[in-house]
Amino acid sequence: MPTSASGLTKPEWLRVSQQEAQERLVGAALPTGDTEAWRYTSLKNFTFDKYSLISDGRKGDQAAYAPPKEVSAVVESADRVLYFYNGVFLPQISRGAQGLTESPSLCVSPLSKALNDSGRSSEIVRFFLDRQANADLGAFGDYNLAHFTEGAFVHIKGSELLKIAVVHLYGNIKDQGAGAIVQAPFSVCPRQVYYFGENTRAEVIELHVAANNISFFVSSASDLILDRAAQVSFGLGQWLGDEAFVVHDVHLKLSREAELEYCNFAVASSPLRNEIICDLLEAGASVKLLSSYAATDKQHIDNSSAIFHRKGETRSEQVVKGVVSGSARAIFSGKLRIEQDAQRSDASQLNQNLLLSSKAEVDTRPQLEVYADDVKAAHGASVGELSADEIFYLESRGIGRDEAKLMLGRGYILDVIGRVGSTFVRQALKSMVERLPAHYFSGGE
Amino acid sequence: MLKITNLHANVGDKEVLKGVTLTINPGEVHAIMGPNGSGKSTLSKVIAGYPGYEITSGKVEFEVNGKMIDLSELEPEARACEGVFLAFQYPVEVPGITNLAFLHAAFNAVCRHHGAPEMSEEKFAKFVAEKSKIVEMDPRFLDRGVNVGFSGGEKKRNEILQMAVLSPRLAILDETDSGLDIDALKIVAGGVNKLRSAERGILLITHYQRLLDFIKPDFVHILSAGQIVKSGNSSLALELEKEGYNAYIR
Ligand SMILES: Nc1ncnc2c1ncn2[C@@H]1O[C@H](COP(=O)(O)OP(=O)(O)OP(=O)(O)O)[C@@H](O)[C@H]1O
Ligand SMILES: [Mg+2]
Repeated sequence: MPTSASGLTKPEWLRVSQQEAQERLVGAALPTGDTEAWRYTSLKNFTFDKYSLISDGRKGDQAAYAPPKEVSAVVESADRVLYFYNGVFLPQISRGAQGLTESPSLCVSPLSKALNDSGRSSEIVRFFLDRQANADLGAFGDYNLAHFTEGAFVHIKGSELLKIAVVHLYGNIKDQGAGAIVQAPFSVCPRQVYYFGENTRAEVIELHVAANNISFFVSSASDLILDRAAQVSFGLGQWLGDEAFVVHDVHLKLSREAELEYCNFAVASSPLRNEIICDLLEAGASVKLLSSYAATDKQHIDNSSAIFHRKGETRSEQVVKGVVSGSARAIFSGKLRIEQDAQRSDASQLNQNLLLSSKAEVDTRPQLEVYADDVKAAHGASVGELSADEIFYLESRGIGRDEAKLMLGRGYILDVIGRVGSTFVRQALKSMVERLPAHYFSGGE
Repeated sequence: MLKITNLHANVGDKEVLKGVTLTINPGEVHAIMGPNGSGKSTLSKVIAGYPGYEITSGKVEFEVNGKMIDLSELEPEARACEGVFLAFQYPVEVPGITNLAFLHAAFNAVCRHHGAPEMSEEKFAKFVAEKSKIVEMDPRFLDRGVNVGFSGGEKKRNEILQMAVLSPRLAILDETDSGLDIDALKIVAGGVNKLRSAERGILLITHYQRLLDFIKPDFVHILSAGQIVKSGNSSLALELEKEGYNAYIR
């Protein structure tokens, strides 16, 4: 097998895929304001060249790296934990990720290891990543594909209900110890592949947390594949700081009778863009897609999603809610497409924003495309302020005005997270919301 | 402990309270009855400090640390911390905050106000579970959003639970009986009776004599068009039930 520049060994198919992605990137133009999908998130001052890729070969001091207390508390109850620092796997503090063959019921390992496995893991990874080469990934998708070197590989096979945590920590290069040759601003391209086998159940959290305010570019991507009747609760938590430029691509694929609850909580960056494509591929597939966010100051968050009901009796329930203050901006574009073959499907979409300042801005762009006649599809959007009656209710119980606002603002977000059935996932995201500082809710004009 | 003197108050441009005078001493239970729109809820909200209800003349005084002070000098949360409690006629739904978290925050806010140590989550959960028994409330309600999806009667029960937790010196119950079924009324009234004490003043606002069968008031007042037009003992409520308001309205 050839060795890539980063020092990792890569299979030939991946080398070719990455090469092709790289070639597409060279010729490609970035989306502009004319590109509908990027209408509200300007890339005027963005170029890929501005960021240098972190090259690997830095093993040095990472062994000594300790995760922040809040993070380790959240993942404490997980059965398996994979830690990464600036995209590099940290075996010393990870738990239960020793090998690919450790258990017939599951495999949790760094992606690099799965890629080089001689057994089924590499086939699975290939099955999902190789085919990306043909898809129209857009510039950011290509960037991740061309450059990712590491991430998580999770394959659930058995019936045991497992709690899994994938934690990406990011920090200044200088904290990284020996071999750190790249100067900020740098880019990191983590990639996750989750494969939930037939009839399996799992609870997973994926966290992306920057230790401090660093200027960097995170181009991350995750694929979740649910085989028949798999039941999964998945939480994504993002807190990457004001200076980060974040694009996170998610692709969800659900087979027959598969059930997924997917919940995201994001603290906005500059910007943070989440792009979700959800394919309900077979009859009876059902997804609950929950997104929540907080944005303040000059932060910018852009949630873009496309849900495809490909077959009959599929269900999607989408709730997107956030709190926007300061001169922050929140965008939601939600496409909902019900194909002709998807009779008796049921889809609902709701976007609500709590707007705490007159300088903050919210844009909602629902897009319904219904090609089947016997379906239910509903959508709604609203923008509101804190209710005076709610504030007074709290005050009348002794809670001061500022604390009341903080509680109500957090409550607005927790209303989304509270819909998650898995305690593990819910608590992980909830604890992030509970650490949101008061200025996210004070208006801050 | 509460002294209302010739109170006039506006809601928007409209004068709703037109000279209310009322004194409540510790240990007393007063009932206010009166036609719809006569200003009962307005009076209770003025005492609690609802923003936008403007006192145009007269005053509301409350005893704090042995001294009568003008309540309008205190923010609503300070009034609550000093022991003023209003069980709302229409309790507000607050999604995203669990009943338990809400009660805990309120309880600790009152502790802080008095310089007392706050209670840990664990200890508080036990404390609330105990208090829930007073109104026979299913503990599962504690993990739900405050009043969210509660039935009308459940909301009222929840108000009395809050009262039990916060242990106020003055409790104003605005139509806590309406919306309660017969059994629930007995339970809630029983809960209020348990909270009756020599230090606590209670003001019941109600339309129905039935509540007063369960919670026997020391005084009954009739509020009409923003004024107390008649005061008496518990027999007044019985008369009222027989004769209707017409006999008392000027
Ligand atoms: N926000 C408001 N704007 C205008 N008028 C108001 C407002 N709030 C209350 N009022 C008016 O004030 C008057 C008194 O209302 P209040 O709620 O105090 O009556 P009440 O005695 O509690 O009646 P009920 O028995 O129906 O509860 C009513 O005429 C009502 O319409
Ligand atoms: Mg009323």
